[in-house]
Amino acid sequence: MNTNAASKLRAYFRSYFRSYGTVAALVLICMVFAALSPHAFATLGNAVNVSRQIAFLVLVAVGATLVMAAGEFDLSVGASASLGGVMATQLAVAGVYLPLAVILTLAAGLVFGMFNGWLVGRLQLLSFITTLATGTMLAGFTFWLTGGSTVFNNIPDGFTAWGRAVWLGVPGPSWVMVCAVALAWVLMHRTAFGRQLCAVGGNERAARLVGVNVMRHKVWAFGLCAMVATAAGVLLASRLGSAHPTGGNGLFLPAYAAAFLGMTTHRSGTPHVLGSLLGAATLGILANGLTILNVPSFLQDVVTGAIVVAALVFQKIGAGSAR
Amino acid sequence: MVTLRTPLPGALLEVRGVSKAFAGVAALSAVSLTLAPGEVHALIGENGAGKSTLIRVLTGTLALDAGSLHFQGSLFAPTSPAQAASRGVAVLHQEPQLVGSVSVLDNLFVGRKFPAFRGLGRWLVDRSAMRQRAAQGCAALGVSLPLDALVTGLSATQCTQLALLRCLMSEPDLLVLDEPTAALTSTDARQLLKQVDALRERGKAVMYVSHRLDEVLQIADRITVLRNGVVVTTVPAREQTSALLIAAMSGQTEAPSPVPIQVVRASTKPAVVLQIKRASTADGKLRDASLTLHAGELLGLYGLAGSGRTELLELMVGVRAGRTEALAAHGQPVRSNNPKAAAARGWVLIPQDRRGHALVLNMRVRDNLTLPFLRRFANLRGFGWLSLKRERAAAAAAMHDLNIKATGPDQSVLELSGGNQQKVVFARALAMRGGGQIQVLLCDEPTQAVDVTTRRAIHRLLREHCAHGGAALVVSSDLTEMLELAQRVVVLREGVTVANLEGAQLNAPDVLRWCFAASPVNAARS
Repeated sequence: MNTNAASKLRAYFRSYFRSYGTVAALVLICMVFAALSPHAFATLGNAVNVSRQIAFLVLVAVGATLVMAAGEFDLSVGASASLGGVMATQLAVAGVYLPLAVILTLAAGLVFGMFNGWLVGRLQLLSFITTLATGTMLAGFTFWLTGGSTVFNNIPDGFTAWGRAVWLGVPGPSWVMVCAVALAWVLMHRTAFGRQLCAVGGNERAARLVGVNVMRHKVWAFGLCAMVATAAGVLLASRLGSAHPTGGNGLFLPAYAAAFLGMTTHRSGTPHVLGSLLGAATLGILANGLTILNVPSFLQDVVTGAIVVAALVFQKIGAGSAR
Repeated sequence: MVTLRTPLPGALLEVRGVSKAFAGVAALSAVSLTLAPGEVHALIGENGAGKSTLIRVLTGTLALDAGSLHFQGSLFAPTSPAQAASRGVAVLHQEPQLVGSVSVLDNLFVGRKFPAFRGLGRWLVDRSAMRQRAAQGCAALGVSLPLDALVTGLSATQCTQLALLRCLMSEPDLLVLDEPTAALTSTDARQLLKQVDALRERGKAVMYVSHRLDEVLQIADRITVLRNGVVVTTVPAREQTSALLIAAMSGQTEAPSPVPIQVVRASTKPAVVLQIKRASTADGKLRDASLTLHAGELLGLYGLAGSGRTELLELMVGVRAGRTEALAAHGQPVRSNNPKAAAARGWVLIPQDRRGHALVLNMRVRDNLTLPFLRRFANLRGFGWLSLKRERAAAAAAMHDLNIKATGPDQSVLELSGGNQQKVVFARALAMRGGGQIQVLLCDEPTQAVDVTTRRAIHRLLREHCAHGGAALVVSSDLTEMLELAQRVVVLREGVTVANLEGAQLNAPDVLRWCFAASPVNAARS
């Protein structure tokens, strides 16, 4: 019974992580850091810490994965995250009932994303350019909301409770991350919507020909992506107790780096949720370990970028030998 | 057996004991064959027999496991298509590899040296010299191509001719043609065979890979039959018949007799399941097309390449915009038309381009099979999580019904042979049936570039589908197939349905006469 379950798990793992390059790299990175600073890096406390640090990135990466599954790109996720922080804090400061403030913010993200999806799916615009433009608009709008300054005065304590809460030894943002990953995984890999979404990304024409409503799938993918990005912004603001109109911008590139790293783990090189989680974890652990080792942050960027390039190169080589 | 150490005298190309395996599965095992100058050597075999692998070995895109190639008396081990071309080996691929966004003229020179001016101008391309050389090439081949047109606007025939001309521009000694007539109508195919004949007269060697046995018998000097990566036999073509070749390819001692056509003769007139009247499109590809399809009927739609066959099918399922005077399904007028609505009324298109339009290649067989009706396997009224167990069972059953050869429902569809991929498309279409609706299969070149066995299986499947009350509209460029399969044939010429032939009228000369008649005649429209 037990061995059966284990072999099932192994088969599942094998089907998803056909190329182990990224997984091996993650293990290797952990081992190196653990050897270099056993007392700071290889501790349970630090693992919990990393899970909180990557939570925001994972949220954005998971959203980006949905859009990438549909064969598109959403370059406005950074702007959505920034909006999320600013809008939620401003509503909270204005005294709006907190759950309502969060719901309104997420709804704004959803609507913005669905507008992106409509432009791309219905009007067949190039998503790359379209979301660059709408993201710029949204970033400008967010700036206008705050007049360019950071929101940090009079934020109610209830707002920061989630971001700073620890529940059963696990930080609040990590809980949100776990739930979001689980939901996204079910949605993308275990529902008809998700499967059809992947088919749209794989061969849009074939999907349309068998009756998949391509536009509707794109609208929802973009909508959910922006909503999740907004949620990341809300959570970040809750954690920091402040929101800057460019606060979410820094999540954009690492989120795509994580999603691409995740794609390299998949046998057919397609986006998938667990891969993106793994990618984000790799980036997060790398940043954490390098910080512990006192590596300057600009060098961290160099190393992070190099890791992503290396993963892509290894995947290319692997795919070449498999053919 | 004597092992030859030196190249055979007179041989242009000698393939000596070539083996290649993919992940332990032999694609070629100890394949040997020779080509002499001025010889047309046909290579035939079912899908997966190793023809494509051999071509890839010749072009240097695949390294050998064992054996060697000798070309013009010396060792030939190309590492890239460019290197193979520089030695004098050119390949016309099944899907012509052209750059769609640039002109015909530029396509002729892409990847080779563009003619340049002399002196200081040597960095500049001499377009008049290009034009001159292209015109010479066209004249030598006996074709006329619109040199300034973009490739995206060319017909399938023009694309093939352009690709062939491109191959010949480098004056190769050996030309490999991979299914050159797959996308051509029989007239264009005949012209291509003439061009091959002319090449033979000029002393070129041609390796001719085709599924069309009549062509092979007509054009080839010798025929090599491959089966499962092994050379079954190499024989002079004049001693062969297609029955013998099919037997050699399939490994069966004698060709099975053709399946008799079962015709349902209901006492009452069968119901009309599809009717389209005076269909036209804005681009003029369709101008005035009308046809009627009854339950239990296997209707053929025949026309030359570019006559609007694909466009008509696409219009029926709503992936192409156009105007019709009437479009009705099962007697009910069609109001909104898109693939989903078409599927709901039982109309399914099986597109010609299965890799580009039918299959999601980076997904599994089961993903492709169940894509249109995934919600059947979802809990919570179609919106919950999928029951993979039920989905796998349904996919496995569909695969079993059509005898699809795969390791299982979870194999990547990309790894399947062309014939099995096409079966996946058919299995999916058949499984879409539901709700007591009579199902109409709209098949665009259903047996193009599939092996003989699959071709026969698809024919049987279509006949059975119709015998059980379904209906099918089949487009094929292969007239023999059309006459063998269809009970009635509608002929399309330049976007107009010009004839409706059945019974005694249904014969090759009559069909072709309607295809080529000088002016459109308002003939019997059903």
